[in-house]
Amino acid sequence: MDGEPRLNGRLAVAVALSLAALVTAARVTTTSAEHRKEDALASLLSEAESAAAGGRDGEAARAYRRALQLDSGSFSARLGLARVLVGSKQLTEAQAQLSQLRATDPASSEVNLLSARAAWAAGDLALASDYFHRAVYGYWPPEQMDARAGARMEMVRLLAARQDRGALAAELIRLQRELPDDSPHRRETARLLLETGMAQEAAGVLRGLIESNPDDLDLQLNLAEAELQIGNPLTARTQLRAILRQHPEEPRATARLGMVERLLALDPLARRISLAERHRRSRLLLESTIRHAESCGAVDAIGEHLETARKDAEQPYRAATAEADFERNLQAAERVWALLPGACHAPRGEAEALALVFQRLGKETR
Amino acid sequence: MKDRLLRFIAGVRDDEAQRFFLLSVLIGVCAGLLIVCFHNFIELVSWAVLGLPAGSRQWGTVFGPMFGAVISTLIVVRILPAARGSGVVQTKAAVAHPEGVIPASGVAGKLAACSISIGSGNALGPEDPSLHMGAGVASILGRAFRFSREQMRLIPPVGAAAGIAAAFNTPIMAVLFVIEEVIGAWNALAMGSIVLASVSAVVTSRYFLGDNPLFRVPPFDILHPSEMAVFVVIGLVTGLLATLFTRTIIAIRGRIQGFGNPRFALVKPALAGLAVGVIGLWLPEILGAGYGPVDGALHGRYTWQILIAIGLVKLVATTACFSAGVPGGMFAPTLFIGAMVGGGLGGLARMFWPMPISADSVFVLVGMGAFFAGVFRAPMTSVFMVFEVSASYKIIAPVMLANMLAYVISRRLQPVPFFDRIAGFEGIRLDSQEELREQRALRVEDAMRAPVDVPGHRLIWCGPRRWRTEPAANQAGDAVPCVYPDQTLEAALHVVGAHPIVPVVDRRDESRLLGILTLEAALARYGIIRSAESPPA
Repeated sequence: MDGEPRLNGRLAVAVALSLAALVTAARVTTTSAEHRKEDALASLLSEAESAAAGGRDGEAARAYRRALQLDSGSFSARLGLARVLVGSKQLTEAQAQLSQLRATDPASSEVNLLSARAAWAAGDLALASDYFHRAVYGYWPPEQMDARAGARMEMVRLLAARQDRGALAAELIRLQRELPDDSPHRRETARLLLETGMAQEAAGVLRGLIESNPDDLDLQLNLAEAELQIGNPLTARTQLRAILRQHPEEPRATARLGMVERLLALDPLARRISLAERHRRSRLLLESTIRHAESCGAVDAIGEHLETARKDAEQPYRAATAEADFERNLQAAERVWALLPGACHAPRGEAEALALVFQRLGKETR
Repeated sequence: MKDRLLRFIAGVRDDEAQRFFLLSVLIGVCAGLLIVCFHNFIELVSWAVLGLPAGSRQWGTVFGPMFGAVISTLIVVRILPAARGSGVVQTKAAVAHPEGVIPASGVAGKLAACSISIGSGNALGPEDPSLHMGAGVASILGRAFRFSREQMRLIPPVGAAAGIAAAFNTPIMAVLFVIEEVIGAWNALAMGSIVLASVSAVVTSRYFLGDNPLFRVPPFDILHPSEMAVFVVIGLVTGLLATLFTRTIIAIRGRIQGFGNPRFALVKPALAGLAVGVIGLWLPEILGAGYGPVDGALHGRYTWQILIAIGLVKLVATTACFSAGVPGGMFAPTLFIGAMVGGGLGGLARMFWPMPISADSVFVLVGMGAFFAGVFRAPMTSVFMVFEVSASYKIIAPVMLANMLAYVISRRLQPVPFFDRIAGFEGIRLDSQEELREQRALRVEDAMRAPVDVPGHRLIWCGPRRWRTEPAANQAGDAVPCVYPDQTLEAALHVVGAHPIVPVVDRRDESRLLGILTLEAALARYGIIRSAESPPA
C-alpha cells in the first residue's frame, strides 16, 4: 500500500463520475421521497382539518400527529394539533406543542392566542393575559381583523375574570372602536362596558345595536340601565315605560321602573321643584336613610349619629329656615349613609335608590 | 493564474497531510451523499411496507418486519458477507488492520440490507450502518489515492465520523464518538480530518434533506435545583436498565449464535421480525428507528405509564432483532428506550414531587443521554449529543449528572464494554478503548533510583539548567540533560541511551536532585532485563 501517491487524470475522472452518480442517486431518491411525503402530508392535513371542523377532535389529533411523523417541521400540522389539543383540554401536550411553535415563530398571533387559551385553561391567568397581549398586539393580516377583534374579546373576558378593571377599561374602549357594526361581540362588549362602569360608552354601543334590533328586550333594558348609571333617571324612566308598553308584564322592567320612580321621588336636587318640595324630599331622604340603617342592623354601630339624625328629621317645615333645614337634612342623611357598614350599601331594593341619590348628590357637590 | 494552480496541485501532490485533508472533505461529501440515499431508501421501503405513516398498513405491519429481516439477513449472510457485523466493530477492525480495508461490497451490502431491515419496521436504527458505510467509502477512496499505511489507519474513522454525522445531523457528537470510541486518541491530523469530514457530510446531507434537527425539542427551563434528585434517579435506573439490556443481548446472542443448523440461519431473524410485527400492530411506536414517537414524548404526548411501557417493549423488540442478527444499528433504539424511560420517570416524579418540576422534554433528553452512556460507555459523546440535539446549555448539568451515574453503574455491573463483546461474537479481537483510555503509562518516577553515585560517575550541579558528570561520560562533553519524575519513561529512554546516568530533578528547582535514572533501570522497569541495582527511590 505504501506506493507512489496517485493523483492523475484517470483517477480524477473516476472520482468525478462516482460523485456525479452519487449526486444523481441522492437527488432522484430525495425528489421521489419528497413528492410522496408532500402528497401524504397534504392528504393528512386535509383529513385532519375536516375532522376538526366536524368536531371530531380525537380523529383530527391523530391525523395531525401522523402528519408530524412524516414531517416534524410542518408548522401547519403542529399548529393544527395544538389547536385541537387546546380545544379538547389536553393541556400538557398542547403546551409543549405551543412552546415548540413559539420557538419557531414567536410573533405568530395565532400561536400566542392558543398559548393564552391554554394558560387560561391551566389556571395561569397572568401568563394568559401576557399571551393575549402578544396575540392582540402582534401582526394580523388585514383580512383577519375580525379574528383580531375576537382575540381582543377573549382578552377582555380574561381581564374581567381577573377583575383587572384598569386594563379591562382600556381594552374595552379599543374593542368598542375596533368592532364592526355587525359583530356578534358588540352585545357582550356593551354588557362588559356597563359592568365596568363605562355607561356612556355602553349606551352608545347599545343604541347602535337597538337600531338594528329594535325589539330586543335585553338591549333595551341594558340601555335603561346605562342611562341610569350615566345619571339620567328621567331618560331611564322613559325607556322603561316604553318597554312596558311593548311588554306590559315584563318583571325586570317593572322592578327597575319601581326603583327609578323611588329614586326620582327622593331626588332633592331635581329641576323645577319648589323650595318646600325640596325640603320635603330632603326629609324623606333622611327618614329613608334612617330606616335603611335600622333595617340593615347598623343601629349599634352608629346609634349616636342616628339619634341626631332622627331629631333633625322631626323638625317641622319653617319657611324662614327652609333653605338651612334643607341643607342640614341632606348633610345628616349623607353622614348616616357614609357611616353605614359596607354590607348596607349593597345595591338591593331601597338601598339602590338611596345609593343613586347619594351618587347624584356627590356629583352635584363636586 | 495557471501557474498558481499548477503550484497548488504540485504542493498537494507532494504534501501527504494536505492531500489527507482534501481527501477528508471528499470523504465527507461522498459519505453524506450515500447517507442521503440510505435515508431515502429506508423511507421508501417503510412507506411501501408499513404504509404512510408507519403502521397504517396492517398486513404489512405484521409480516413486513419478518420478510425484511429474512431478506436483509440473506443479503449479509449469503450474498454480500462483507456487510456483516457492527459498523463500529468493523471500523475499529479496519483501524487495527495493517491496510485499513473495508470492502466496497460491505458498503453496498450494508446499504441494501439495512434499508430493507429498518425500512420494513425492525426495531433497529440507521446510525451504526451509516458509520460503517462512511468508513467503507473512506476506505475505498483511501485505497484509490494510495496513502501511506499510517494514514490508511486513520481513513476509516474519518469516514465513520462523516457517516454518523450525516445520519444524526450532529457533527460535534460524531467527532467525539469516533475519537472516544473508535480511535481513542487525539492528534492534529486525525482531529482536523474528522472535523472536516463531519462538517462536509452534514452540509451535504442538509443540502438534500433540509436543515431539520434529529429531534425538535420545545424550549424548557430547569425549574428548581431539587430536581437534581430526579435526575439522579434517572441516572441510576437507566444505568441498571442499560446493564440489563446489554447483558441480555450478550447472553441471548451467545446462546443462539451457534445454535441450530446453519441451513436454518434465517429462522431466527424471521421469528424476531414476526414478533416485532405482531407487537407493532398494537404499538406502532416501536417500529423502525422510532424518531417520531420520541418527538411525541418530547412534546408531552404520552402519560408516564405509556412512556415506560413503550420503552420496555422497544427494549424487548430491539433485543430480539439484534440478538437474532437482523442487520441494523443500536444507536436509535438506545436513544428511544432512554427517552421513553427518562420521560416516564419524569412523569412519575411530577405526581409526587413537592417542588416545581420541569417540562417532560427535560427528562426525555436526560434519559436519552444517560441510557446511551450506560449502553455504549461513551459518556462525553452522550453529553454532547444531548447538548447538540437540544441546542440548550441548560441541559448540560442534569445530563452530566445522570450520564456519569449510568456510566459508573454500567461499568460496575458489566465489566466488558458492549462493542468489545460484540466484536468477540464477530470473531474479532480488539483492544478495548475504555481500557486503553485508562491505561497508565510508565513514568520516570517508576524507574528512578535513590540519588547515589554510580561507580565511576558523579553528578555535579554547575549552574542554571546544567548538570554534568565526572569524569566526562561522552564525547559531546560532560553536560547531562536532566529528566523529571512525571515524564514518561518512553520519552526519558531517548536521554538515558546516550548517558550512563541521568539526574532526575525537581521541575521547580532543577538544582534539587530527586534521584537518578539509568538505562538498566529503565529497561528493568519494562521487564526487558533483570535489575541488579539498588531499589527504586
